Amino acid sequence: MGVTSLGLNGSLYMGAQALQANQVAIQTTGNNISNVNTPGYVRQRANFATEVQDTPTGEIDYGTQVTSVENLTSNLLNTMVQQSLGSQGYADNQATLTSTVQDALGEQFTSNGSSSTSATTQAGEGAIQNALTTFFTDFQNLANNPTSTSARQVLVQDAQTLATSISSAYQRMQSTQSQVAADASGITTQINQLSAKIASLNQQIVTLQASGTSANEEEDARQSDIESLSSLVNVTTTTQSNGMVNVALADNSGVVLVDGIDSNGTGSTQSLSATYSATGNPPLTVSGSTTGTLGAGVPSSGSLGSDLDVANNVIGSPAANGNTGILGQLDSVASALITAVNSQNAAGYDLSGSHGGTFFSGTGAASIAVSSGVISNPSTIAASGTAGSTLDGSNALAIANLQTNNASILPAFQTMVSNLGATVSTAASNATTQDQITTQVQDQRNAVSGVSIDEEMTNLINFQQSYAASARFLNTIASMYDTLLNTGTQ
Amino acid sequence: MRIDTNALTQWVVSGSQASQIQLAQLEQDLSTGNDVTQASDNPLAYSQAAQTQASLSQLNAYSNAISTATTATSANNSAMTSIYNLVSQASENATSVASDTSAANMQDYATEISSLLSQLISTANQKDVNGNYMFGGTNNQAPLNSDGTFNASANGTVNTTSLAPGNSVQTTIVAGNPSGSPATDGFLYDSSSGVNVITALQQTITDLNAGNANAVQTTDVPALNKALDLISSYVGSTAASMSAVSTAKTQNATQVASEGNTLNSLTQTNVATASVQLQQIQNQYEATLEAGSRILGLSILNYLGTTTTG
Repeated sequence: MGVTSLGLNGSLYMGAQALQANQVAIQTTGNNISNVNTPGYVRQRANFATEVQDTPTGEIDYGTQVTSVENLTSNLLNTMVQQSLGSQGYADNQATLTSTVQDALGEQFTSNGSSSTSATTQAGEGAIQNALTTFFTDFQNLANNPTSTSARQVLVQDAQTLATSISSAYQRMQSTQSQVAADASGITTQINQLSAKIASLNQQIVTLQASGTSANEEEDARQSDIESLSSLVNVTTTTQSNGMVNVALADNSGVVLVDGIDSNGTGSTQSLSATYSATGNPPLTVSGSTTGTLGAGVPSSGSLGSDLDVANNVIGSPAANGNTGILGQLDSVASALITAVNSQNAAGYDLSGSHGGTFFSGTGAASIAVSSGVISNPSTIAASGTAGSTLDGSNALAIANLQTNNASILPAFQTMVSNLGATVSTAASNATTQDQITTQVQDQRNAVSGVSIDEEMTNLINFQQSYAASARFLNTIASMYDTLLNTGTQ
Repeated sequence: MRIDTNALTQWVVSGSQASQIQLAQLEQDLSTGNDVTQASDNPLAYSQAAQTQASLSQLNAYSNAISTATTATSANNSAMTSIYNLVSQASENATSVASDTSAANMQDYATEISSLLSQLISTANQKDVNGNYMFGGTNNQAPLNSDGTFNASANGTVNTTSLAPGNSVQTTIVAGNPSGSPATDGFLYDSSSGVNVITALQQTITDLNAGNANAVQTTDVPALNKALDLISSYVGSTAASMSAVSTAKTQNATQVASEGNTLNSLTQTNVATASVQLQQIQNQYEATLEAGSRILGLSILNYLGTTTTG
């Protein structure tokens, strides 16, 4: 069987193609090396293929060519990273915010450096637990000294401290809730901006691909933006046949954030917004521009989902608006304190032998205060259980015993703080676990998409050698041309 | 699994970061002495510590009350003993009067018993460290007037002090007041037995001054003995109160120490355990850094340079 010859021109063409192909490969390698530290960069590979042309005498190989420069990526791993980032965004934000809520409540133990045989730990100054126990202890002291003016004055001062501690903690909680709501509003703005960027990149990618130009960098940027979006709110993505990616909320597929080149209200898309009302139930909601308020707890993941959970469930609503979370529990404790102390005080007798009046004014944590009558005249505190000449301290003792007898006051408060601590601890643990999961998934993806300097340098040497060999091949063909052209002149 | 260049860096960074977080926490635990400062550090321990702290607060209040009660019951018992001795001495003087005792001697006895009565009035009208009359009830009135008559303004209310849940002790006693409205019983007057210590002493003085030996023997001595019985019962009850307070003090101190130790064990750092953990994490941290310093510097570039030069 005969072999079809390319001829010298064909050989020159083949050498030139090899030079060009290796040059593209070297450029691709250089691009990989230069982007080794670029976040979101996906390594590229120049795909070589033999260039074959059909002739009447059979196929002729014209050497090699670069058919494409491919992004080495995995859609499966990309989706797993997206989902993991959504969970991590939630977990990280939850850990930070719940810790902030705990700090705002202000309950902590501090060491006073006493000897090991005595109580060396006490609640932090200004803490409600400390103020509550001091308040009840004052009543215990008054029970033993029912006629003591100084004991009554100390009691009034400590009662005012207690009321201030509760109302201040309540205000700090509301302030924290407001800050969380502001964060949620900022996140929805970021979501809308990222949606617009993704839609814009969709447009660029389609345009570039239509012109036969690689859109690898734009695809990297779009994937990076989708992942940023995923950490803010859980989304699902759908790749269209033309290469565009559509994005919708995972919790409500009807809320489309990106549809091809549309976003932020154009076409079928919606923008998101957060609304906060301190008196609302729930206080913080997220709305789509056409859907309106999304359901309770939607979205449920990402930083935005965490904001919703902390604002609506951890901090919650005051008694008047749902009585959930810390606000509701603080209200319940304050309300129980007001009711129980006022009721018992009214059952006793003051120094003049008259029935006691209102000790605490207000109805809950926001409004609790020591009544003006008690402040101006501590003798009206009803320490005695009997009237007339037989005044004693039994009623003061009954109020002191509320510390242990009334489960709705101190025990309820301790349970609230302990439960909040468990929430914070769990959130921190979840954040650590989720961080490890995300790292593992990202490592798996980087095993496919990440740049290895060793690998690239090895490839570079390989392509460099190929380039040199191709040049030498061209040189040889050129020499053959010279030999052929000079034959007639010799 | 294919490893990209940044994976090595990430592993070294995340490994050292994890060690540093643990080191920082252990250093904080050791430097502050507390490993539970807020509920999230250990929710269960915090809950138990908060309850223990509240219990300690109550115990400390009881401790203060016990301290006050110790002073009060001791002063009561001392006063009762003193008054018992005064009346006992008066009774001895009265008992020594016989039918042949001269009028002059009886007047001497009367003078001596008058002196004893003055001392009794002074003792009954004594004040505590806060300037309040100890035996005049809650109205802060002297129980006796200077002439020995009962002060109608003094009342009979007594204070009890809680030494522990369900354990109270009477920390005040009153002289009593037959002229009060209503009349109140005390260590100088008891309505049920009809004893009036002041009247008994005053009648004895009157009869001695009158030289009425028969009245002294047949009426005054028995009355004084009844008075002694009444005061003796107060000496006993105040001694019992002192004993009860002392017992409560011991129990309170034991409970405070126990609860304090519980609180410390719940919240304070176990130095030995934390030190061992610190050493372990430090080793782990050093190993991560050592591994990182060896691996991160390696690359094919090191060897390419050598080959090219050669």
